[in-house]
Amino acid sequence: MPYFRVTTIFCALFFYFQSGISQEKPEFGVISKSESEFTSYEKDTEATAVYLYEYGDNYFEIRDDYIYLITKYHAKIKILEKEGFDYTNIEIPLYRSKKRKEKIVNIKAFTHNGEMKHSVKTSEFYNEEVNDKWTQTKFTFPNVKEGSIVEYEYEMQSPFYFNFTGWDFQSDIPKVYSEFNAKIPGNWLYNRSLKGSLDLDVNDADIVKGCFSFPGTKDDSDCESLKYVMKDIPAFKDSEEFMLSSNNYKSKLEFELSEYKSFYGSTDRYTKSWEDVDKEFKTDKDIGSQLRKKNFFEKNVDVSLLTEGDEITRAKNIYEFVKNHFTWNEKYSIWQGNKVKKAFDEKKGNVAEINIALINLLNAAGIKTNMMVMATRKRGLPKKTHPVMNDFNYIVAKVDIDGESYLLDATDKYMPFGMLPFRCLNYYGRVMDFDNNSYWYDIMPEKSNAVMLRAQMIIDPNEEKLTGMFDLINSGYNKVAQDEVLSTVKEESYIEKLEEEISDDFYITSHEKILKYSNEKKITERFNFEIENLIQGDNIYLNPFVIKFFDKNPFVASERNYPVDFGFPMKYQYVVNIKIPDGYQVKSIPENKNFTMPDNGGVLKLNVSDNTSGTLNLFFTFDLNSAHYPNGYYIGLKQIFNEAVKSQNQSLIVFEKI
Amino acid sequence: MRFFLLVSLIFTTVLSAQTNYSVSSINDSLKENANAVVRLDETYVEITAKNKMEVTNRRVITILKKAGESSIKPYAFYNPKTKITDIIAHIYNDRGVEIEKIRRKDFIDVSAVDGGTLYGDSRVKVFRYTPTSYPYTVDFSYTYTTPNTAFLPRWMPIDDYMVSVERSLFNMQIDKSLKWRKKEKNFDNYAIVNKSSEFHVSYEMNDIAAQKREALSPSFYHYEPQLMIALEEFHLEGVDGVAKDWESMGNWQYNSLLVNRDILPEATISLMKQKLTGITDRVEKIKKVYEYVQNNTRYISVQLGIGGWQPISAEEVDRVKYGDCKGLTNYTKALLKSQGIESYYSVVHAGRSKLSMEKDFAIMQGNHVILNVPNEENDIWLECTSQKIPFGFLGDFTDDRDVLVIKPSGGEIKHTHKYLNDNNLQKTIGEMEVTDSGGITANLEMETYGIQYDSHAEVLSLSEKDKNDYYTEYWSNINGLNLDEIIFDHDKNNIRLTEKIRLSTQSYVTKMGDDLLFKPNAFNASKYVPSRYNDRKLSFEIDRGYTDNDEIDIKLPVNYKLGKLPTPVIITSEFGNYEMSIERIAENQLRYKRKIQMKSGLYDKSKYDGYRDFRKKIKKYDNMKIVLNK
Repeated sequence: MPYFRVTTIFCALFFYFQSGISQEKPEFGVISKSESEFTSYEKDTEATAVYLYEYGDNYFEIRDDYIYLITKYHAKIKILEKEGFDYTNIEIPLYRSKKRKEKIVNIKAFTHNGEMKHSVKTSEFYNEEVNDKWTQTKFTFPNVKEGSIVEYEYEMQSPFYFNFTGWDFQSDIPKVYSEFNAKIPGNWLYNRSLKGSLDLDVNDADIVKGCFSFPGTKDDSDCESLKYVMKDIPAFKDSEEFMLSSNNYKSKLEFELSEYKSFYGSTDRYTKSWEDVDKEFKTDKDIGSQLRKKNFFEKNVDVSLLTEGDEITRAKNIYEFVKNHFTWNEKYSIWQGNKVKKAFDEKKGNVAEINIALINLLNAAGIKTNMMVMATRKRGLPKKTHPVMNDFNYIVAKVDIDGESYLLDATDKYMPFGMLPFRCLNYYGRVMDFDNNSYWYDIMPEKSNAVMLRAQMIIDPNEEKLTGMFDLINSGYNKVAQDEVLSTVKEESYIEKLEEEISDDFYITSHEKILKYSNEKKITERFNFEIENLIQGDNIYLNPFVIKFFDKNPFVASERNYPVDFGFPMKYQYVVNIKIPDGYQVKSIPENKNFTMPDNGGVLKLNVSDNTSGTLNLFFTFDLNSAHYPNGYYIGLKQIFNEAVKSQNQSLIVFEKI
Repeated sequence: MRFFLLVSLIFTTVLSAQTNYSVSSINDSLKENANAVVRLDETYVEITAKNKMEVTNRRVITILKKAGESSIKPYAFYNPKTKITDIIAHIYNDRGVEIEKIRRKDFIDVSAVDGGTLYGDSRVKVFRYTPTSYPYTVDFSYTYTTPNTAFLPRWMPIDDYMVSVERSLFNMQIDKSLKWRKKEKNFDNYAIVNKSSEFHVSYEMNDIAAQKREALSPSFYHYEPQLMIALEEFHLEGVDGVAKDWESMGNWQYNSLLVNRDILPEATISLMKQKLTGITDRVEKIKKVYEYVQNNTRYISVQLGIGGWQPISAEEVDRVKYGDCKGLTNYTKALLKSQGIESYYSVVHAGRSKLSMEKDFAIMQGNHVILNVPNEENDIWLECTSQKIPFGFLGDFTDDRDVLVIKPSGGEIKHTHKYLNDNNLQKTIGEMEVTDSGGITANLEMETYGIQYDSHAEVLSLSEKDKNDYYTEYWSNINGLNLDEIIFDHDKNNIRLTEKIRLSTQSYVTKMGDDLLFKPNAFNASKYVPSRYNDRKLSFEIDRGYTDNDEIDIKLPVNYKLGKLPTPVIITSEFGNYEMSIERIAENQLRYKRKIQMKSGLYDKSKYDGYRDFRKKIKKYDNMKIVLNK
C-alpha cells in the first residue's frame, strides 16, 4: 500500500504567546536590495521564474451589513528567463451564485525593472465571464524582460465562507518564501490539513481576544490567529505517465468549512466527524432519499429480475440490466441535483444516478448492498483523518453475498461483474452503512490481468514461407480493453491494422473469437497467419515474437519524480512451438534470461529449448506483480522493461541448411 | 507564433420545413463509409444594409455511430455586436420521433477565447447531448444579427470525411442598393444547382456521398466547392469599408485600420537611431531592429471589437512591450519606418497546411500577420511574434503561400518563401563503435536546414531533463539509450542547427551463437509506409520534400569481420531517390552511407501504389541487418 502523508495541523486551539519567526510584511511596491540582485535560484538553476515572496491573509469583516470573508494577496515573482514570461499572465478566479458574488475590491500591479516601475492600468485588468458560476480577473504585466520583478496585490471579498479552501504552498515554479495568515472568529470552524511532503517552517496558532464584533451582540468573539510559512519550496514537478493524481503529492494547506454558528443563534454544521456524516446521509434530501426509491424500481422492472435465481445470479442479472439500461453522460456530480427516477426514465444519468439505481434494485432484490463513496484516481486520495466531502467524487455499490464482497459500477458497459473501471482504482472508499456506522473499505483491483500468446509455427523451405496459428488471450483489464476494440472496430480494419503493425511480410489468413476459451474475464482469439521472406541464402532468420506486447520502453526518463502506479498487476506471456524445418538444423537460439526485481516486484524469464521431437519451444513471461512501485523501484522497473523490449526485438532463431 | 483570431467562417443551416427524419428514409448510398449523414444543411442570409445582416443556420444531422458525433457542431458564436436572436435544438430517435428539445436556457454559455489570448469578447453557446442509442438525429438551428458584413457566410456543401450530405442549401438576399461580387471555386465536376436571380443568391447540392480519409491527401480546402460572396461596401465593428479588388481592399485596410498607428515616442526613435549607429548595410539595419523587437517584446493577445483586425498602436506596444501578431508587426514596421526603412503589414493564412489568399477574389481572409520588407528581388519576411526564430525565416507556419501585402497605395498579393526538397536538409556524420558486449557508443553531428531546422530547433527551448527525454524518444528504436553529451551549435545567421551528441547503449547487437547481427543504420531508419487502400479516391501530396544525408563510420569489435559486403542500393523514382552503401575503409571499419531525397509535389492517385512501393523499399533497406562472423 502506498504511503501518502496527510497531516492534520490543529483541530483544537493552542495558546501561543510568541510567534516563531517574525518577519515584517514588506510594503507593496518596494523591492529590497537582495531581491533586485537576485539573478538565479541556486536551489533550482533550471527555474525560469521564482516567487521571491508570497503572502496571503484571510479574515472576516462586516461590510454593508454583511459578513464577508476577506482575502488579501501579495506576490513578487522574479522572471529569470524568457520561458518564464508566462508566469506574468495572471488569472484570479471569482465565484458567484445567482444572488451573490466574489469581488476584487482593490488591485495593483507593477513591473520592476531595476529602478524603473511600470504599472498595469485600470483598463488593463479584464473581467471574463467563464461560465454561470465563475468569472475571472485577468491581466498581464507591461515591459517584462529577463530580470524583471513583477509584483501584485489585491483584496477580494467573498460572501461564500465555504470558499475559504486553503493555500497552495507549492506551484510549478519554486518559491523562496510563502506565508499564509488567517484570523478566524470562533463562529466559524474549518477542518484543515497539510498535504504533500514538505514541512512548515513556521507553524503558529494564537488566540486573539475580542477580535470580531457583531452589532447587537454583547460580547466580541475571540479569533484563532494562524500563521504558516514555508521557505525554499521546490517547484512542483509535472505529472508523469502511470501515476496517481498529482494532487496527492502537492504541498498545500486545505481548509474545509465544518461549522458556522450564526450570530443569531442558529448553527449550520457542515462536516465534522463520520458520525455526523452518517446521520446526515440518512436524513439527506439528496443522496439519502434517492437511495430509498425501492418502490419505484420494483414497479418499473420485470419482477423476475428481482426474484429469479440465487443471490449471485440476481445480482449479476441486475448489474447487466442497469449497465444496458443506462448511458453514462460522463458526469460525476455526486453531491447534488441527482434525480434517479428521471434518469431511469430517460435512460441516462451521471455516476451517482446510475449507481444509486443499481443499489436500489439490488436492495429491492433482497441483496445486502451499501453505497460506497470514493474518489477517482484523477481526483486524488480522500483524507482519512476526518471527513472532507469535497475529496469524494464517485459512488459505487458494495454488495455482500455469502461472505464475499463485490464492488460494482454500472457506468461502463464493458466492465465485468466485480471489477471497477480503471478511473476508480484509487485504493479505498467509505462505505455508508446506514444500519451501522460507515467504514473505510479497500479497493482491490482484479489480480489476473494478462496478455498471453500461444503459437505454433511450421516453416516450409520449399514454399519459402512460414504458416502458423496463434491464440491471443486477453484477461482482466486487458479483456475489457480488447472487448471495446472488437466491438467498435470493424474486423477488416482490425486485421489490417494488426498486419501493418507487424510487418510487410505478415498476413493474417483467418481470425475468430473462440467462445469455448472465453468468459466474462477472458477473451481468446485465434489467428492463422503466414510470413514470407524468411530465407536468406542458406539460413532462415526468425524473430519468434511476431506480436510484440510493446515495442519500446515506456520508462525512458533518467529519474522519476513520483511512484509508478499501474492500477493493477499485469502479466505478459508468450509461448511458441516451432517445428525445425526438414533439411535444416538449429544454428542459434536466443540466450535464456531470468530477471527478478527486489521484493518479488517483477519477474522476466526467457527460455528456449530444443526438444527431441524436432521442435523448438520458446517460453517468455514478464510479470509485474504489483500495481504500485515506489520511487526506489524505478531504476529496476526501467531495467526490466528494457529487458522485455530487448527480448522481443532482439531474439532471433537461425536455422541453417544441413 | 500565434493566430490573431479564429475567423469562424461557416456554421451552416435553416428554414426548410423538412419532415421525415427517420433513418430508414436515408438512401443506402449515403450510409456507405458514413459516421453521420447531414440531412439538411441550410443557410439563409439577409443583408438589408451594409451594416445589417441576419443569418439563420439550420443543420439536421443523423448520427449513425459515436464517431459521427464530432460532426454535430453544436455551437453558435457571438460577441457584443453579433447577437443570437433564436437558438434551439431538437433530438429525434431513429424513427424520426422527437425525444428531446434543447432550449436557449439549456445551452452553456462560455468564453470563446483560445488559449493564446489573454482576453477577448468572443463567446459561444454550446449544447451537449448524451445519446442512449444510435442512430439519432439532431436538428439544430439558430439566428444571429450582426452589423459586420466584411465577411459573409461562405457555402461549402461538402461536410467532412466520413460524413455524407443529403441536401445543402444556400440562400442570400441582398438589398438592391448594395453592390456585391461572388466567386464560384472548384465548382466543376460537382452537381451544383444554381437558382440565383439578380438580388437573390440561391445554390443547392444534393446527395453527396461520404468520403474516406486517405493518408497524404491534400487539404480539403484545395478541391472542395466553395461559394464566396463579398459586398463592395461593408462594415466591420464600427468601421465602414469599400473594396472591389485586392488593391482597394488593401487601401481600405491601410486607411481605416493602419494609418497613423505607427507613431513612436521620440525617445524610442533616438534609441533606435543610436542602436543603428555605425551600421551602413540596409539589411543589417533591418536585422538589428528585428532583434530589438525579439529581445524586448513578447506575445500577448487581447481581442476586443475592431481590435480583432486593427493593431494596437505602436506607441502602446512601446509602452507595455507586448502585443499580438498585429501589434508586434505594426510596431516593427513603425521602428523600421522611424529609421527610414519602408515595410508592409501583411495578412496571411498561417498553419502547417499552405493556404493562400484568393488571388482573383478580394475577401477578408487570414488569421495572422507578418511583415514584408521590400529588398530588391529578395523580399525579407519577418515573423514578429517569436522571440527565437532567425531573422528572415518563416518556417512551415507561413511559408510558400500568397499573402496580402498592405501598402499605402493599396493591397498587393505576394508569395512567401518556399522551403522545398534540398532546402530542407538534414546531414548526419558520425562514428559508431560496436562493443564486444553487444552495445554501441556513438558520436554524431546532425546539421539541419530549412523546415528540418524548424522542427529540430524546438529542442533548444527544452529544459535539461526534457532534452534528454526528447532524444530518448527521437531514437526510441534504440533500447536503453544513454545520452552522454549534448552540445548545440546554433548558427542563426545561416539558419542552421548542429546537434553534437554522444550516446551509448548496452544492448544493440543480437548475438547468434558466435555471430553478431545488427542494423548499421541505427540513427535514421525509416519505418514509414503509408496505409494501403484497395481503391484510392484522392490524389496525394508530398508537401515540402526533404533531403537526408547520413555518413556513419562503424568500428567493429576486434576478432569480428563482415563476411560479404552488401551490394549498394540505388533507387530512383519520380517521388525521389534513395541510395545506400556500405564500404570497408579499414581492417575492421565500415562506412555506411545513405541518402534520401523526397520531392515535393502533388501526385495523381494512380501513382499511390508506386509511392508505397518506394517507401517499402526504403524501409526494407533502412532496416537491413548485417552479420559479423568471429
